[in-house]
Amino acid sequence: MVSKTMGIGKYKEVLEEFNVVERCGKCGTCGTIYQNWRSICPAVEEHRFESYYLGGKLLLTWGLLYDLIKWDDSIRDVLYACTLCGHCANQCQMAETDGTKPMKLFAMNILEAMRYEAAKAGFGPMPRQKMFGDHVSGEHNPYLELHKDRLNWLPENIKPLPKKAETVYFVGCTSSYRQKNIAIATAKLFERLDLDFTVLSDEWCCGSPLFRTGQWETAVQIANHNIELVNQMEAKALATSCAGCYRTWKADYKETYSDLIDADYNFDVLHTTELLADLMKKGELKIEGEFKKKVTYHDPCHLAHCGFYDPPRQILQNIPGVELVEMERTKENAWCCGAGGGVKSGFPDFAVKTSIRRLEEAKETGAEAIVTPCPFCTRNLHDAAEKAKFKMEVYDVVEILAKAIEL
Amino acid sequence: MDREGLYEQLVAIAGSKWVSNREAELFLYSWDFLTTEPVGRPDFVVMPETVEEVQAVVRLANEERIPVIPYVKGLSIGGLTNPNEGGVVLDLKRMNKILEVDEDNMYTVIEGGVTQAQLKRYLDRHYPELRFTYTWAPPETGILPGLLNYGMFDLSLRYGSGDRLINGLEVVLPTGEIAYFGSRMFSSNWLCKNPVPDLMGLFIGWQGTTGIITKAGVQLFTNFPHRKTYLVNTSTMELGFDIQTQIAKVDIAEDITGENFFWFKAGEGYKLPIKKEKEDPESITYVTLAANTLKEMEAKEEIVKSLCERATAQLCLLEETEQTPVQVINDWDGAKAGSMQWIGAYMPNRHLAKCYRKSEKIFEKYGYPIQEYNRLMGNGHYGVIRFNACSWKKHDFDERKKVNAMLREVALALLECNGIIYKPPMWAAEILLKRGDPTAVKLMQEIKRLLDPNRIMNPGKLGL
Repeated sequence: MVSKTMGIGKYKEVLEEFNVVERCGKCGTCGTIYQNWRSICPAVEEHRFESYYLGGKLLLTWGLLYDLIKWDDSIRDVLYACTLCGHCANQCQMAETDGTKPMKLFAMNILEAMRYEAAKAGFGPMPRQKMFGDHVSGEHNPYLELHKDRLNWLPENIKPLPKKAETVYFVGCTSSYRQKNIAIATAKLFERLDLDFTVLSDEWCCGSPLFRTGQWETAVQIANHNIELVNQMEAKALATSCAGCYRTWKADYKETYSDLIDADYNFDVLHTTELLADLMKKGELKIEGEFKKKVTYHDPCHLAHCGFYDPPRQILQNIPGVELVEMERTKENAWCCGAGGGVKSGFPDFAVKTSIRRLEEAKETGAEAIVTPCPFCTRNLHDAAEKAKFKMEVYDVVEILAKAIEL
Repeated sequence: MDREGLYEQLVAIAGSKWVSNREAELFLYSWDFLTTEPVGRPDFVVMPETVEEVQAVVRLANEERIPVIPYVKGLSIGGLTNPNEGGVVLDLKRMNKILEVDEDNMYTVIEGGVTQAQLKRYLDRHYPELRFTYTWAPPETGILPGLLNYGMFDLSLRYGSGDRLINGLEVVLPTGEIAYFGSRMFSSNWLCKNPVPDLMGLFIGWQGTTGIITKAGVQLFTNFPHRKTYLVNTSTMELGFDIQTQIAKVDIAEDITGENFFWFKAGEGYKLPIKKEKEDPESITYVTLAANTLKEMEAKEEIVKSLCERATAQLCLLEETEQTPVQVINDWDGAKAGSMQWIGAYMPNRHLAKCYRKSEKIFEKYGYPIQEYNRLMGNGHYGVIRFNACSWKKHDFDERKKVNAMLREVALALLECNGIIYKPPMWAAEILLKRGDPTAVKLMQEIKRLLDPNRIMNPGKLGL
């Protein structure tokens, strides 16, 4: 389906076969959850102009492709002020006779490709995204931290990790440098469960922030590095506690951008919650303690892109004391936390505002805490709770599990 | 005042976040991205939140003699919000409050930018025993633009076109003054349009050329607990229109809508043109019944079944019916081209079949599959028919001209069948005005001059 070309040219055949861009009629169905009618798009909720709808962005793409308009800052801003959660595309009802929904399949790919085009035309990415992109090239993380400090999170009271193991724990940048508690909880859990696991000595950013912001060349380089490194470990599985890393390994390296990446892999890619839920099911993960709270679960968009909804819920449902209540907008119709797609760095106020809206929805359920299996969502939800002085605790699923097990 | 000065004035009114003179917005509000209608280019797009902001923008525009185009979603499918003479597109999406629901008298008061999605969700959650009437149009379609432009809805068989549902209006006049009409003219309620001089007619059907509707009282209806939709298939359009009329006359249905084979198949995702096999029905009719009890429903079903048997029409229950509003995806998507434009008319029911055949020949001549859609209105007192052209690429400007030429011919066919074109695009309005009663047309033009002496309100539309 795709050719070995960067940018929108990568989707030449998709554009010809499904006409994804020109096909939009600006009807706005992408703005609300279909047949529920609650708003679904953070960018539309915030900005309201037609340009911020998925349809608006696709028609701007159409205008650019047919030379009806020229790149400028306003088009760049519209394309980048989008979390790429993709839930807009889930609402579009355009369908082929076999039920294929082309918007759902391709719209987000097209938007990512247009960000690459924006960068190529000299209008993207947003300044802070460019800064972290440059930093990833040298120090392999977008947090402007030093690569040599990447494993500083590793607690001293954990036994030394082997050089090779059955499972590689891919920590990700956010848990390595910011939400270290998630990495610590995960490692301790793995140790308690006596899993044969290790971490990479030279783990680089997975590249997700770069794929999303149009900085593909660097993203491809680091994808090759990471894959080759894990291949050398001869591991059977790679587990990550980060939703963004999971999607990048599972979908981007293997499918979306596989045509651009030379390296390939054959090991399993798992989200930590998937691995833990499986152990729970087998009776190998027993919880003696409890976590007595009413909680609600936030679906990270990166996991939604992979159709991954159940394992974190299964874990929560099996923790004694946890009362799990669902928000109105869940799974493929979840309200994004606001951080994705480079928005956290490109438009930080908008990111937090979107997260506050999510916390308000969480509050509607009567929950005391919002739980998610994504360190980046956790971080943004934390920031929002702090900024809005919101009485809502924010946890990663693994953190709650660790508390219940009393690690 | 120069453009920069105007921009600053608009920012002072609505705030910088809600005023745009940026390429992204100017492009996206230049056209409806669906039709063959001429593309304009606004100077500014403004999103007011309050009626006071609307007033201030209109006053400024009136002083500066710049056009103002009221806008909610731009889905008239006739380019009625294309800013053909530039100016300010006033996008009312932020004026989306549902201000009141009067359960006893069954009406709601809504702001000008409220969409089908918002009202549907609000009523379903808070007043499930009440409903509004929706159209087969996307969820973000504005409620009031549809009512004000004689749109048809899923209760139109019972209540007629959208304008009949309006109890009262709050209007910002082209001078920036504010005025109330309907019962709200003499009282604080929005009960009904009576018993006062019907000045609402100065704003209904005028395509935004006489004022901006910022608020309206509109009727709500009983949300019956039982609701079913039947498909009635017939081998010819003639038989289809005939059974529609028969069912309308027994006065038991909520809604009777028909479409031809090609519209129906496009709706299923087929790329047009598609071959129609001999056994395929030419006409597909949707008959919706509603009832308070199962017994009442069964009685209505029995009548419909008996009529269909006599007419040798195939009847089947539509098992999975989506609630309106729906995304009319494939109306314009049948050619996977993201384009559509229809031309339609209010028409005597007895002329519907003749009109279809005339139009079919025109579509054949131009090489496009005919898509037809019709509805019986107001207890069957009249019908609405429209013909859609969709199999063209919107980036192909030559083809757009060809499609427009075809639609013009269809418009003439509609008029020959005693039809009155509704939601007319600019070219169709010109045809209508030329054929209209000269004294009435002159009066219409005088009224426009009186209300909008500087011709700032959506200029060019409706021949004004």
